[in-house]
Amino acid sequence: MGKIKLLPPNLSNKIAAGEVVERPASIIKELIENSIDSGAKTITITFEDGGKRLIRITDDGCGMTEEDLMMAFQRHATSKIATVDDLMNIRTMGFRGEALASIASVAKIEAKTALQGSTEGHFLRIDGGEIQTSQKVISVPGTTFTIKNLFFNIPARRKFLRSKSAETRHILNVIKKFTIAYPEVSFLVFDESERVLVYPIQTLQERLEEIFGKRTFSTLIPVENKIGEVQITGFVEKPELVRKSFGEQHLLLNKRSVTSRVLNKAVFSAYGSLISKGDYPLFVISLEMPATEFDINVHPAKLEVKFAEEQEIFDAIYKTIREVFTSDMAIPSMHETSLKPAHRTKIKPNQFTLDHQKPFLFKEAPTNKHLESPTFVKPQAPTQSRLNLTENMSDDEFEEEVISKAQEPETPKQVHNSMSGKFWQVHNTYIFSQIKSGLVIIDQHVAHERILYEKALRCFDDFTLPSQKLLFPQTVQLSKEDYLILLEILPWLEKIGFEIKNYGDNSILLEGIPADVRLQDEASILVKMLEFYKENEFKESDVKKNVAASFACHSAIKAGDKLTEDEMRVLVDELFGTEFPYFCPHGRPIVINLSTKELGKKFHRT
Amino acid sequence: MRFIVRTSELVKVVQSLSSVVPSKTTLEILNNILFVLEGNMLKLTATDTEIFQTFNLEVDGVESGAMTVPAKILSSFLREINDEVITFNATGVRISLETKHGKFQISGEGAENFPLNPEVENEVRLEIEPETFKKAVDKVSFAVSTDTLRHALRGVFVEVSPEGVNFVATDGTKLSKYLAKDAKFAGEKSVILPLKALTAILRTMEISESSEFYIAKHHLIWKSENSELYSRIIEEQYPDYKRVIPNDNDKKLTVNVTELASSLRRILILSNSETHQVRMDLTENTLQVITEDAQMGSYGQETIDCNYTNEEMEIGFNATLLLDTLKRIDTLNVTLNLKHPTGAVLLEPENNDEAKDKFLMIAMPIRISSD
Ligand SMILES: Nc1ncnc2c1ncn2[C@@H]1O[C@H](COP(=O)(O)OP(=O)(O)OP(=O)(O)O)[C@@H](O)[C@H]1O
Ligand SMILES: [Mg+2]
Repeated sequence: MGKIKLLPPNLSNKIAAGEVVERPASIIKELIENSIDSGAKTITITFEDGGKRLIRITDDGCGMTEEDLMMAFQRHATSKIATVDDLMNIRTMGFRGEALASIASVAKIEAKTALQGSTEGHFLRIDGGEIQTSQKVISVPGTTFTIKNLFFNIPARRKFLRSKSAETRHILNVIKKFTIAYPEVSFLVFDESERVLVYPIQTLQERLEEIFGKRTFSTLIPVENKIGEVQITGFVEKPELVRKSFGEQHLLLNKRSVTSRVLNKAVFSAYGSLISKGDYPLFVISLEMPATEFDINVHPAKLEVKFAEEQEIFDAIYKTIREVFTSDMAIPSMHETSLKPAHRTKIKPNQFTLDHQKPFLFKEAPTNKHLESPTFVKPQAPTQSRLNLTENMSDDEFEEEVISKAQEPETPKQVHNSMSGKFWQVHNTYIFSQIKSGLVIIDQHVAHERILYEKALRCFDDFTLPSQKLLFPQTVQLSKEDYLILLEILPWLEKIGFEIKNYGDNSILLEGIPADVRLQDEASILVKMLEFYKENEFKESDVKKNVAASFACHSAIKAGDKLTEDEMRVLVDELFGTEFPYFCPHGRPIVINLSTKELGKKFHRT
Repeated sequence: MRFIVRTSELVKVVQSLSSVVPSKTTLEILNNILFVLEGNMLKLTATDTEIFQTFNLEVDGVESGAMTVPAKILSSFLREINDEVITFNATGVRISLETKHGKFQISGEGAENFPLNPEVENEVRLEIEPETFKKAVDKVSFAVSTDTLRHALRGVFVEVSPEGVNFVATDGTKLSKYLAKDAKFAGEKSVILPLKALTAILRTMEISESSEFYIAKHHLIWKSENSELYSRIIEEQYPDYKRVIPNDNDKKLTVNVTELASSLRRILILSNSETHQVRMDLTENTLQVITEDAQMGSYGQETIDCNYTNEEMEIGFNATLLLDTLKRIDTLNVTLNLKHPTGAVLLEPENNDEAKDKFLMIAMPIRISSD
C-alpha cells in the first residue's frame, strides 16, 4: 500500500479550508513546501511570464511511487498526517493534502517522479483535473512538477493577475522566504532562461549575507538564546542604524515563514524607544519549538499561527533581543571615544533583565519608560540627536496647540508674506518663524519632502533636472527584485537627476545624483528609495507619484540636519511656492501655527 | 588650589581650549577645562574625548591642586577683563577670582572625573615645516565632507608618496590635493586626520612657537613649546582617489582667477537657489558664464576673455563649488583641464610644475537640466 492516504472526514473537516491558489507565487510556495517535505537538498525553480505561462520545480527528494503519484492529486490525500493527534503536532510544511488537488483544478500540470536510488519513474499529465497521460519513464530520482497556463480555464481570474514584473516580484518574495529559512538547501532560480539566483548549501550567515548584501548584513547583530523549549536564533538590525525606511521583517517558526502579531510585537517592544515611530528595522527571527505548542492550522495559507502560551513566547523573544541590544551598546563602537572606564558606560549587561525575572502580564505590555533604567546613558553615537529628539519633543505635546488649516483663516500666501524673515532652528529639526498672528513651526524634513515631491512630478512631464556628477561612482549590488523595480522606474529616476548605468547581473553604477540633494551616502539613498517604492506600491498605483514620493522621502534633509539661516529661508520660500505647503505627500502636517491668542491663553493672559 | 596670573596670558589659552570643548555633550564634565597646578606650572586641559589639548602656563603658584572650571563662563568673563593680575582660589567646588576691582565666584567641579589623556603607541614623527603644514591644511580642508555617515571622508588623508607627503580631501564632488615635497614620514601607513583636530592645531599655531607632528597607532600628536594636542585618527579606508584624478584632460582653459570668481559671484545670485547651476560656454578665447532660473524668472550672462583654443564646449557647474575651488588658487591665472562636459575637471594654479609644492583640485561638473 502507498504512503499517501485519504484523510477521514472527521479529520479533513478540521482543516482550515479556503483558496489555495491565488497567483503564481502561491503555486510556487506550495511546490517548494512539498519539495522540502520530501527531503530535497537542491530545489530548482523556473518560471516564465511571471509564472503565468509556466512554473517548473525540480527536487532531489524522496520521489513517489506510481501509486502515490496517482493519489497525490486527490483532495485530502496526504502522506503527512493520519490522525487528529497528528494535526496537533505538525512537523511538515504540508498537512492538508490540498495543494496539488487545488493546483490541478486551475492549471495544466505535469509530474515526473522517481524514488531515490531508482531511475524508473512515472510521468503524469493532468488537464483541468482530468488525467491525460500516465506512463512509465526513465527519470533521475526526485520529482519535477510543471504547471502551465495558470487559470486557463477561469478567464475571470486570469484577468486579475498583475503584470509580469509584479508577479515576478511576488514569486521572488516567496522564494526569498524559503531561502532564508533553509540555508541548508541549495536553490537555483531561473526567470525564463536567465539565472536569477544561485544559492549553494550554506550557513544561515552566508545565506543572509548573500540575500541582503554584505553592506546590509554588517548592520545586523546575531541573536541566539534558548529559553525552556524555545530556541531563538536570528539577526536584528542595530537600533542606531535603523532609519525611516522599511526594512524586511522575517519571522520563522520551525522554519515556516509566518505572520504573528505577538512575535512582531515582541521584537518591536524590544527595540522600544531605541528607534522612533515609523521605523521598520530589518530582522530575521527564527523560533524552534515543539509543534504541540502552537497551531498553524488557522488559515488555509498556513501563514498565521496561534501559540498556546503567547505570554511566554513574547517574553522569551523580548528578553533575548533586549539583552542583545543592551550588551551591544555597552561595547563602544569603532568611532567611540576612549574614556576612562568610569565614564564610558553605566550600563551593566544584565541591568535590564533584573526587572524581568518574573514574567509580566501581557496586558501590561512593557512601556519604554518601564524598561529604561534611570542610569541608562546611551553612548554618544551619530544618531543620538535624532533619538533624543523624538523623546523630547513629541507631536503629542503640540497636539493641543495645533491649529489646523481649516481653523486658521490665513491662506498660505498670507502666512508666508507676513513672516518676519527671521528663522530659528530648534533641535536641528523644526524651523520657527514669527508671523502676524503668532508663530509658525515647520518640520524641515516634511517641508523639503513636499518641495522635492512636487518638483519631481513637474519634471516628469517635460524637463530633466540637473545631475551632480560624482567623483567616485558607486556600484550598487541589488537583489533581483529591486533590480527589476529599478529598471522599471529608471527613466523617471533619470529625469529627477540620477545618472545610472545598468551593469546587468543585478548591479548598477551610480554616476550622478540630483544636484539639489545634500551629499550623503548616495548608494544607500537609492536602495532605500527602492524599498520605499516597493512598500508603497500597493497604496500608490501611479508609478510617477510613487517614484516622486520615494525620492522625496529619502533625499529630503532629515531631522537633525543643521541648516544655516539662508538655507532655512530658501526652504521656507520654496515650501510656500508649492501647491500644498501644509501637508507632506503622506498626509503628515508640515506647518503648525501657534497664534498669539493661543499663547496668551496658555500664559493665562486673558 | 591657588595661583596668581596675568589675564592677558590666561585668556589666550582659555579661548584656544574653548574651541576643543564640545558644543553639545552628554558628559557634563567635558564643558569644563581641567586646571592642574604643580608649583608654578599650571596645566590646562580640554577634551571632547576625540581631541585632548593641553597647555602649560607659567603662573605664580601658591597652593598646588586640581579643579575643573566651566569653559564658557570663564572665557566670556576673561574677555571682559583688561590685562590685569587675577588671583584664582579654589576650595571644594567653589572658585573665587579676585582682581584689583572686585571679587567673583563661580562653581566648578572636582577633577577626579575628568577623562585622562589617551595613551599612545608607536609614535613616528611627521617631518614637515609648520608653514607648509598650515598651507596644506588650508588648501585642502574646504573639500572635507560634512556627511556624518561617511567617516573616511570627514578628515584629511595624509599619505606618504615617493615625491613627498600628500594631503588630500574630498567630499565626492570636489577633491583637493596638496603635495608637500619636503615633508617626510617614516611611518608605514597613511592616515586620515579629523578636520576638527587640524583646525584646532592651526588655531593654536598662531599663539604657539615651534611645531612637531607625530603619528601613532591610533592618534595624531602635535607638540609645541607650550601646548600638546592628541587626536584620534579616523580609522577607515580612504577611497582610491588616485584613480579619479584625470590624466588625459587635454583641453586647457586658462583664465584670470579674480575675473572668473567675481563673475561667478554675480551670476550665482541669479542662479537657482538650490542647484546653483551655471553653464560655461567655451569658444575660441572666450568664456561665457550663463545662468537661468526659469521658475524665478532670472537670467544672467557674462563674457570673459580667456585662453582656450580647443573645440567648443558647454559644461555645467555648481557655482558655489567652483568658487570654493577658485578661492584656493593664489596665482593670477588658473588652468582648467577639461575632457568632456560630464567628466572630472582638473584645476591647477599657474606654473604648478615649477612650484615648491604641487597643488591641484578636481571639480565634478553638473549635467545641466534640459527640456
Ligand atoms: N515533491 C514531492 N516529492 C515527494 N512527494 C511529494 C512531492 N510533492 C507532493 N508529494 C506527495 O504528495 C502528497 C500531496 O501533496 P499536497 O501538496 O497536495 O499535500 P500535502 O503536502 O500533504 O499538504 P498541503 O496541502 O498542506 O500541502 C504529499 O503528502 C506527498 O506525499
Ligand atoms: Mg504540500
